[in-house]
Amino acid sequence: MELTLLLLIGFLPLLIGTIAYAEVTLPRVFGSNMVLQRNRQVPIWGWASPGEEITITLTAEAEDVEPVSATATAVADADGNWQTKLPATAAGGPYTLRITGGNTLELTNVLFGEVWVCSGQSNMEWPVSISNDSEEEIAAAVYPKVRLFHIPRVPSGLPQQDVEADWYETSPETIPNFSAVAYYFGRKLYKNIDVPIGLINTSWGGTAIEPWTPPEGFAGIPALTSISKEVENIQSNYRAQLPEKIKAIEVWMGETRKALETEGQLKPMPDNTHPLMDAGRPTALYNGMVHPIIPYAIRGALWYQGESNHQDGMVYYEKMKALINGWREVWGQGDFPFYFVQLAPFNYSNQEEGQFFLPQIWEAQTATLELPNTGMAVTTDIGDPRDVHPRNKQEVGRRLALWALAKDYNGDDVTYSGPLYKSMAVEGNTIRLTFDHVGSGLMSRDEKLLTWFQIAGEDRKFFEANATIDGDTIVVSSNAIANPVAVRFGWHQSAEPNFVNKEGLPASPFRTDSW
Amino acid sequence: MKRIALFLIGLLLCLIQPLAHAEVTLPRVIGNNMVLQRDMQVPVWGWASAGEEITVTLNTEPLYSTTAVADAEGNWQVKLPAMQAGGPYTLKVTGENTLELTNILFGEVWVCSGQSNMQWSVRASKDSDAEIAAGNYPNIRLFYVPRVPSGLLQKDVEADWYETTPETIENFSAVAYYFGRKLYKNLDVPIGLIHTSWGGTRIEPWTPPVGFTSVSTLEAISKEIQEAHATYREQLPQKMKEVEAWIAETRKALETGALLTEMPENRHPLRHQGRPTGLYNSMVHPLVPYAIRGAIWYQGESNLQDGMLYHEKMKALINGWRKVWEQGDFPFYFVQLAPFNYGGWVGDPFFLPQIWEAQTATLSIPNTGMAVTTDIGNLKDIHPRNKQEVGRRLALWALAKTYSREDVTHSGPLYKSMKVERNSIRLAFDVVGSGLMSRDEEPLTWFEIAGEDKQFVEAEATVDGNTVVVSSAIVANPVAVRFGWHQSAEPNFVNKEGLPASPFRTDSWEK
Repeated sequence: MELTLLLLIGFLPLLIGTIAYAEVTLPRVFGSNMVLQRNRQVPIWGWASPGEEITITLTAEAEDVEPVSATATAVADADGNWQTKLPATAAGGPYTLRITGGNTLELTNVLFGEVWVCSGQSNMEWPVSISNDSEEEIAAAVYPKVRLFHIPRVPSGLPQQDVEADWYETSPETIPNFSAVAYYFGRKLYKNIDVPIGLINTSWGGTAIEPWTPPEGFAGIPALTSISKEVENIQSNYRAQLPEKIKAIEVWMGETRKALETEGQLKPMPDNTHPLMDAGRPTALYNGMVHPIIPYAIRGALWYQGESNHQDGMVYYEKMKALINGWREVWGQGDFPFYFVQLAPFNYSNQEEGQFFLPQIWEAQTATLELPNTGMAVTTDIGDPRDVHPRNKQEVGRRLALWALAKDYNGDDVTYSGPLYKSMAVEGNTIRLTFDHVGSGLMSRDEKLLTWFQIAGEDRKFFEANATIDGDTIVVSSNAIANPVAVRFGWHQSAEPNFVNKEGLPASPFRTDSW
Repeated sequence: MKRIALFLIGLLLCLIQPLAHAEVTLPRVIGNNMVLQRDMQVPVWGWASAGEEITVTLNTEPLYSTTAVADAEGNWQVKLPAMQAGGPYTLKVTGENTLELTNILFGEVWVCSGQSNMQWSVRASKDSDAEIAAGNYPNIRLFYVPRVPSGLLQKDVEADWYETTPETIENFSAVAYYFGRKLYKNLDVPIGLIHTSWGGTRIEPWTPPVGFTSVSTLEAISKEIQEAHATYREQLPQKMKEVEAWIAETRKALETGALLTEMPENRHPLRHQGRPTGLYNSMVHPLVPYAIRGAIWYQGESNLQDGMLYHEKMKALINGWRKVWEQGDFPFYFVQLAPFNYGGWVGDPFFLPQIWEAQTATLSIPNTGMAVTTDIGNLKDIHPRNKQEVGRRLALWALAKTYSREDVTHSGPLYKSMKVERNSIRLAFDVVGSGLMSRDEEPLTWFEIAGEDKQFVEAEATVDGNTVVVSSAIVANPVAVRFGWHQSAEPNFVNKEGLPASPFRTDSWEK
């Protein structure tokens, strides 16, 4: 017994020793060239030895930079985690951030400005190099104060702590493979508000919305209980099976050590892949590509996704709620702005029924505007029905920026949306429609008659309709319908209607019925 | 001290016990509903405790029974005697425990491999609704190997044998199914189809190391494989340390309910469907040495720019499979790629003719065959939908060559030789069948002719008995002919059985 004790005592310092000399480290989202969110407390976190004291100081790098005297301290907890907050700082820089524990880390060329997370599937991931006017745009991309952080594609079954990425200044070298929508959004903001911009691009082509959503998001939505349960079950099964898996791995390690000594044949390591470690599984991209940057202070988020959920109908609205609520909950920053792109018209299906999948997604996206601090960029006029990846990302980015400028940057004079259907009134054999966001007035963008309006009576058979602008309203009618009860507008996957406000922003497709 | 000793002894016993009671297990390819190859001895193998005696019994009349003893590693193998086609049989495997496999047939087993055109499902092919509804062939059995890459040899796959029904056939390989169905209708014996393919993959991942070492021109690939293994081996001790740390952390987290972390990666550099041997290891090796009649192969799109090197790689694949299977030079029939407008970065419209040439050259390997598809492609679609005809043409080779059906013409015309006759060139062919013709009764298309200046011009070509005579008014002294020498060529030259001639060239000029 004494021997055992001695053995154990001998062992302890060895264990403690390794931990005690662990270096202070940071997640990679904190790095040289980063943009920190201005005007609010900024969490800084990392890892060190348990009990290690961490001091953070911020110093101006040049004489003409507004001096700040920010210092923060933290003590690493028993697991080596530490977190502290920098005080709210005005836009500017460059600053040097020093993090000192046993060792010192020095991050240089740090700016304070506006930070946006940009996420979604291929249309968000779509790089500048294969979008419109790529050559000129790349050559002109000299914006040292617009900073880029491009998170690599990694699925994970369990929340990851870090990503392999770095912050870069925007230059013709760094911009070609960066998200075009994110860049054009950020550039528009930069030009309008003249403060540093940080863009965090975390997107993956072909992905559905579920992988991007944290478990907390699904848990709050009754309609998505089955997904929530599925994730829970998978996690608890994984946990339950781990001891068995670990045993198999230990057996394999024994065999492998022997094989290494004897130059024998190696066997593959037993599989211990988490069942959610796949870009198609719920929470997998949240775990691998979003969780590691939380709670990095941000102004808000952009989202361009839905093609891979285009058959979801109104369930997509529930899933958007899960995503937005989920992100807001885990970020702990309140209801931060969340602006998304309405999908562009595209010929998804040549089946009769399939042609109305997309309008239902548009409807689900429009319904999402009920959530506080959300916005939607309509793109019916800048799509390409034969290409699910329209190349005009400049205008998509600009329209997202219009929402941000109006809502988040005091742009009271900015018209940030096209007309959104508000209400209808039957007037004899016509229906009168009213709209939000009439801007400076309603019009047809090509000066032709308004297109893609349909009208129906009680028999629910829709006919092409005449639609005319009457002040801030539209009057819709058809000779074939004496007693109209419902109107549809742009209700087809390939609809590219011409109804806009005078600012040139297109109206969102809608229907007044719910048949 | 005594307590520690007791503890250690107890620990040892714990470790030994599970091994002693290890159950007899079988690879999944040996399972219910399987088809075993008729007319040859059939290996049956599996795992058990070292030294365990295994009895394998087939319920023939009288019972056939054989035994084996598991070796020190727990491996065992027996052979069943050559059986005639028929069934169903039951196979019992008895050690400490007993496994009973039912509904087993003896018949003809084929391995079906390649990239997307082999993987292409019945559901996504021509006449899918009607074909799926008619897919009731309880004696055609399907085994679909899942897509998994591995850097090291795997022992098993996660798959099962199924009878062909509308439910099971829908997602199965169309080419494999239509090949098997044609055989079934002609031979009237059970057919087993083992489908192992993966869209977008090159040939190198499907090739075992021994295949590469058998072809001297591919030494660089052999070396690359060796280096990858050496790197993996070198890094293993460090990786295992990380895994051990993770295990300690995870055990603690399991106790305290803390958050779990992902296990550190220990990825073998060849564990990818793009790396040499990466699919052989996990999608072919686990099937070896299951007795088979032969293999069919539909691949090459991803090796488009390889030219004659593809012939070397085909040699490596075929040699490699034949070596590891230890069944001699079993039949290996492949599909010549269909015409297609490879565009964009590929650019050169002569890459595809060079692959056709490499595929044709592969016919010099014994017991190989090639289904030409120049007439059933789609220039705008790299996945032509008519898989019925592709399967049928592969089956023609099997019927003629493997099953000795002398009445079957197995191929379209294959260029044999040329002779200059003043201002024309006369071409001779193998497999003229019942005679040469144009399939649309129009003049023969896609023949070109050139003189010493190597400038090819469109040529007139006419059938003359079992030969074709080619000429052009503007080439007085012809020296070379090319036929179908363009990626979008869909020529009309066939034999009277309707099988198209393979594209070819009589020259071997650079351009």
